[in-house]
Amino acid sequence: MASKTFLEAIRDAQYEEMARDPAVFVMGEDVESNMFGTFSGLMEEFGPDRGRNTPIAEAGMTGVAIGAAMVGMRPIVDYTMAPFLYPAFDQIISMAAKTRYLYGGQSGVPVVLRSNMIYGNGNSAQHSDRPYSMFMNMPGLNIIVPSSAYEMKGLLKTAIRNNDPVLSFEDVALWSSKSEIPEEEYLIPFGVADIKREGEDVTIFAIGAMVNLALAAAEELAKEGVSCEVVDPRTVAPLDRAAILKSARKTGRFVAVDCSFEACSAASEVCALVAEQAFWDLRGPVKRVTTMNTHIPFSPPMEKQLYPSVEKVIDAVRYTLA
Amino acid sequence: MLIEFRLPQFGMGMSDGTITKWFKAEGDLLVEGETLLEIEAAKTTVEVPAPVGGRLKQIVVAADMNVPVQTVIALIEGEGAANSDATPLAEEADVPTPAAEVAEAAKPKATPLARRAAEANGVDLDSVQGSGPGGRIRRDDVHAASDTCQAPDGGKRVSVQVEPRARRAARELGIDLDRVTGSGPNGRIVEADVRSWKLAPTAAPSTIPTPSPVAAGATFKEVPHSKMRQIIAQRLTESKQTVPHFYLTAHCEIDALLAARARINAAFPDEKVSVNDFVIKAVASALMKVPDANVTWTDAAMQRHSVADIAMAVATEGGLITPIVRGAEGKTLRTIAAEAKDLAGRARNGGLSPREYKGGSASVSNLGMFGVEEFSAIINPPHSCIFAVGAGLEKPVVRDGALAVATVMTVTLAVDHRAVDGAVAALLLSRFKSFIEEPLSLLA
Amino acid sequence: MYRRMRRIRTFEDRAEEVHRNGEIPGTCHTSQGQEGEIVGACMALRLDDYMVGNHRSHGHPIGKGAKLDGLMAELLARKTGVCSGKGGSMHLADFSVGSLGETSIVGSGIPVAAGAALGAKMQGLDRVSLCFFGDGASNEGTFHEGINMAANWKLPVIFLCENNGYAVSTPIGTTAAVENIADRAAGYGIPGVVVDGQDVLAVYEVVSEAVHRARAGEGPTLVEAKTYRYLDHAANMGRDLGYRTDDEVAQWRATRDPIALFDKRITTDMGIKEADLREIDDEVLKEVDAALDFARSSPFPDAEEAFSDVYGDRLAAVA
Repeated sequence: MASKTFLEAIRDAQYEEMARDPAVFVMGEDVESNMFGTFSGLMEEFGPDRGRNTPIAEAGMTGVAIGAAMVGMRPIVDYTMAPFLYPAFDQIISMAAKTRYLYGGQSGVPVVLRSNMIYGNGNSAQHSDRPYSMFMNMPGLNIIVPSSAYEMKGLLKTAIRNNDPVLSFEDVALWSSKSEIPEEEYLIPFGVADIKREGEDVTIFAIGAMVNLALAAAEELAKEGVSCEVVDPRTVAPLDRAAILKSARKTGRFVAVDCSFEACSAASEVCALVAEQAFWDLRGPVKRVTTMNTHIPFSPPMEKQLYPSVEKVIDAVRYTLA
Repeated sequence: MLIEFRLPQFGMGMSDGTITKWFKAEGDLLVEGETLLEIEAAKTTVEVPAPVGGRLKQIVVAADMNVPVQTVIALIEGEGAANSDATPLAEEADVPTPAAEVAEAAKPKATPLARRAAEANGVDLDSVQGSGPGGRIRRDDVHAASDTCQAPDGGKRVSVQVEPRARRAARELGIDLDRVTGSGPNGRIVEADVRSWKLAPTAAPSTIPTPSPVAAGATFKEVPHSKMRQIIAQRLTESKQTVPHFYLTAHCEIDALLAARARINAAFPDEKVSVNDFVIKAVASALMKVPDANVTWTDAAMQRHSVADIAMAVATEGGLITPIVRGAEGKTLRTIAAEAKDLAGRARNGGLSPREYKGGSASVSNLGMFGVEEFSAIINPPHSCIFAVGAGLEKPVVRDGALAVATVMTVTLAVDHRAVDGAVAALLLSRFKSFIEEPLSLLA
Repeated sequence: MYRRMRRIRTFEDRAEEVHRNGEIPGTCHTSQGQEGEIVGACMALRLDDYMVGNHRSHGHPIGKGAKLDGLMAELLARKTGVCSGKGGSMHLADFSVGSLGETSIVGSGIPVAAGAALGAKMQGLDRVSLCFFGDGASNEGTFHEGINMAANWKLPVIFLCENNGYAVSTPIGTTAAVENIADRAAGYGIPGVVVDGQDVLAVYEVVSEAVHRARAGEGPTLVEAKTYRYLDHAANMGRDLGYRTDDEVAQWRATRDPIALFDKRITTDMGIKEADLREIDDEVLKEVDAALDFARSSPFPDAEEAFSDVYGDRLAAVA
């Protein structure tokens, strides 16, 4: 075991997979200068062919990655920030998500599209996005949102080996967080949630960095005798519906914590699932804790209030108990 | 101006309520909408807000008193205009006093449709947020208020909440939620309430005004009436007072029946049939033979039944209940036996659904197991007949001019003479006796 | 070469008829008139070279040698279609002849074709990749981004613009500030060549040159084939959008038909017999009829098929 940060986990996953499979390569803006430390040692080890800088041409680079993937390569595309996926939206949707289906399974698109989510830092409306919920609405995509360094490594390795497109959303708030990482290789499968804390009274579903908020809230609430179960889906596509429903049925109360904007968020999706299929086991209403539906402003007093917080999660739990 | 604050009606079924707590004392200042008192009515506990701002001049009905809806329970010296809650059934809005026009918040009017909807749904217009011009309350606002758990002013319940789990449990166990008292927030019925109800069906506390405390050294103890006891008292009194009972008695020789029963039970040892099962089948068969007796009296018309749904009286811890074997005329003895056993068992556990004990053509009450020779029963409305069955006892009988011994079961039929004439009743009893004395005729 | 052009023409004529009588759901974009540039380009490629196409997608797989049965069955929405009924007319892709799909979002294939070339290069395969796109697509952002990246990395790709003069109903002259699309190549530092799309041999020569360059590691070429489509943007559109005259169409048919021109060329200059060509015509007719029969007698896909091929290895990933 070794203690590694989230960023180190990304770097290790990429390194190990590139060593294992010569088809894996990395491309993106400023890859070669290793801005965030996720490519340390990669170029030296594997050569410049497998770690390429691209022009600022998100649609173009996505299309190139897709084409390469269709003929046998396994590209990892690094967009740096999540909002930079938007110029590539058509390539992701029309080409990556749909190609296997459209051509009747004649080919697949094994690409990994990585980006980070940075918010709460005064970066204003265009640079503070958390868009994984938007992509959930399109079939054909896999979406990982790791909640710790341990999850990050296991999910990214699975992503690279997966034969379909995978979007990886990496919360900057977790970058320096550490986990104990085993020496032996491990993969985390998609569509399998993890119960981060067992409980009896209320289920708190939380995505990515929100898992820590949920756990902190659970600690607080335990002092009042409220026992919370925290469910981390790890991947929002595929979504482990069975685990979510099982927990909701057990506790009868459901809170979903998601840093997306509220409208059509992942939290909305799981609440709808629970209300539809676990209704008769419920003891109270479902409740979402999300980012409020307004653009992200620059000035801190305006910005900070908008995102989920431990207090908001505690309030939400109380709402379901009332 | 002095306002009479009357006990409001929550829910159509509420006819009276018990004031469990006054939150303010005489002389206290009131803010419109703040909780003034708490009442307990049939199913739930409700917090009632002050209908107007002002001063609580007099508490007319003290705590722990049970009074009918609309009784004046307090007098309030109001600041503003008289409000609709003080007299929710009033058609006319009171003319506002000049003071009211400068009142901090003149009461928003409600449209006539809204008033009617509020009355029909037991909604307190005070709790309703009006969406019309000037805060006018429209019918849709009333409907919205009666559906929501939380009124906009944040405290008052007007309908009983049932958590989904509790609803499911009630369905599974066949428990009428109307009978369950909620222990959850704001009187919400939770699953535990449903599951524990089946063990103690008489859990609901009394709402009849308690008389003065019992003196020390008294030789009796006062047990408040359970809901069930109250219902039994009310129904049977009503029956005796409104239904003209007419009685006929027959002595039935049941040796042949007992022999048949023994043979049937030998053939089906796991599905034993009792004498009462024969009685039920015989009653049903007799009713089919005498359709004029298979009726129910209503003021408007006579209901003539095409099937014979026979209710059987079952004694439970809480009192008498009459679950129904439906379509007994078409069921075999074994089927009747199985159903009767199941129904009786569930009746004792409080696990019957209303469908299983409401309605029916006629009743059978059997006190034979207690050794009672003969008795007359009280008709259970809406039935027109009730068969009171005694024990089968060895008696001397005359046969062909000679004394013999036979097992004789005495049955007294009581009929509603408005619906069933004496002759018809006699025919019914005669047919019944034939079926009992020749049990094979029940097969044909 | 003649056979392939004839195949495209007959297939397209038949498809248009069949669409008109309701057997083909959705839209149908036909390429009669463009056979020259399609076949000329395709035949300059090897079977294992990659090709990415667009919504006007019937001709490209035929040009690259695909069998007609699977294509016709796909048009008629049958289970036996090349895409198992999932794609239809706009996505008639046959991977067995090197097609990497015919994609219907305008311009979306351009960077993908470049990517295929990258993939081949990285794997040390000497395959090239050719992208068919229209004059309209040359205005998309992906044109700029894809060609720029290909030029930067010297990828073995040929960008072939099928300039038929109109993007649906909009003449290219009103949306592009350059005379020839190929003029834009200079902006990316790659060669741009204009060729007469109706002259199949000329196209063949130009594309072969570009293929040779690519295979030699000299990078991409932008080829612009001036061509024309006889029918509307989409078959049986109904309305006359009024962006061109009947005379114009008639003129092209009469004097610039690629098959007629080729016919004349090879019979006159190369000593091919007329009768042989007519025989080919008959054979092709039979082939197309047989394909139509095959399609008509094939079953439709089951409803459950709607849920297959969304993911390749879902179960494996979850396990």
